[in-house]
Amino acid sequence: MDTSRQAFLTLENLGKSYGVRRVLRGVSLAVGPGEVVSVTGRNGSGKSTLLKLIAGLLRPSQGEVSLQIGANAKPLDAAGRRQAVGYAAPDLALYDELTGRENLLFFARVRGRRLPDAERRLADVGLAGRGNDLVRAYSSGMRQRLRLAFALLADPPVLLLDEPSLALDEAGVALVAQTVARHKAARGVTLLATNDAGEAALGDRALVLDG
Amino acid sequence: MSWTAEAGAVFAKELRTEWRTRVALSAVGLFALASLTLIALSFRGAPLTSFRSDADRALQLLTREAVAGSLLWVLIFFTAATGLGRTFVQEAERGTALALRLSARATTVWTGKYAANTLLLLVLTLIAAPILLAILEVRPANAGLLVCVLLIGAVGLAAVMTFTAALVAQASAKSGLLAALSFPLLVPLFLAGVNGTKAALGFGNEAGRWTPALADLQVLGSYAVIAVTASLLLFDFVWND
Repeated sequence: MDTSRQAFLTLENLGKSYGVRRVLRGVSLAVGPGEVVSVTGRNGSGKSTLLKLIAGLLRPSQGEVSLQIGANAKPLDAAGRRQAVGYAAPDLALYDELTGRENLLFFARVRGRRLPDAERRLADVGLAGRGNDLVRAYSSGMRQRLRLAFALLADPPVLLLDEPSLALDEAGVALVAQTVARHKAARGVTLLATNDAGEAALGDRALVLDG
Repeated sequence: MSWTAEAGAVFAKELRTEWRTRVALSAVGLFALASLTLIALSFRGAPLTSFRSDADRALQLLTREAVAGSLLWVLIFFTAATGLGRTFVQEAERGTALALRLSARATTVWTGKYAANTLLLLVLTLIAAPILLAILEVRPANAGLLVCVLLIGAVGLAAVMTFTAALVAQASAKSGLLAALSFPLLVPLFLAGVNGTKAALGFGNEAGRWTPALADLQVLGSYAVIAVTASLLLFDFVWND
């Protein structure tokens, strides 16, 4: 990854509440280029919420998320963060009434990417042969692979993967490990929210949320 | 990517998904068909030729011109509320809103969806209006003026409906909320729309002149500009917060 696109992610005393229910509090973390952090914790401890806060999909109740692309660059606002991250999560869906290829081509277009990027990503996740099928006809494992392709579409400097191996077969689990390794080698930042020990082992270090 | 190309991609996606599912098309079409059928049943057996004297016929025609102006906008409003509300609700319910929020700017999402909704509403209006007028046996005194009023009115109506639909998608109780929230906002548009439509149909304007409707056209045009501008300015808060 080009050094001007290297990411520096800092979380300072980050917290999130939904009404009176506090989901996350006092999370601080600094992640630099080429690092993989596993985010673990029991169900409801705020792993998915943390990833959404970093992605700019939620607004923190306390603290702040700072993401710089390039060592001396200004921190991005929430809108900038949404564009800079690749995000895959179980509650993220792509359009059932479009084919896998059409989905990626659409998101490539709105992200200003070249169309071959979409084709390449489809092949990367092993869906090239099924790219012309409607997503409605995909199995849950194939949908998960498509989510991964969506996350990787814009070559993001930050990859946020929430339970990335969910519903995947053995080859799919290996694909996730390969993707994380490739992103690390390219000096990207990766955060993996998981309860799976094997998946958590992909991280260089772990952030354990105690809820 | 340029802003217009991004909005264009959202617009094309909206048309493609709608063409494949026909969710909004079916809802809008069925509602319009049911409404027009009920209106036709109500006027069955009372053609204008059944009124004996010219004075009775003239009075009846005048009443129908006035009724047509309102009925047409009632039909357009409730059909729009039935069909256009789905656009953001579906994104929220299915989880595709997350992918869209991560990929596109809020203003291009709104614009793409707004353009698709406007197209749907215009198609509906251009099909339903002649049928309604034929049922009521009302011939427009100025067809060009009628098209202008309906076209500009639909542009403003679709803007308010698209924005309100995004608000409604965030609520837990969605049923009926779109009509309830959007109606008070649309009162100025309906006032000008109904007046303009009546003038185009010849109510108090037998010669079908443009002059009596110019103020209404100005209100409709200004309303559309304000609705689009306000939606573009405010949509980011609704979509991303």
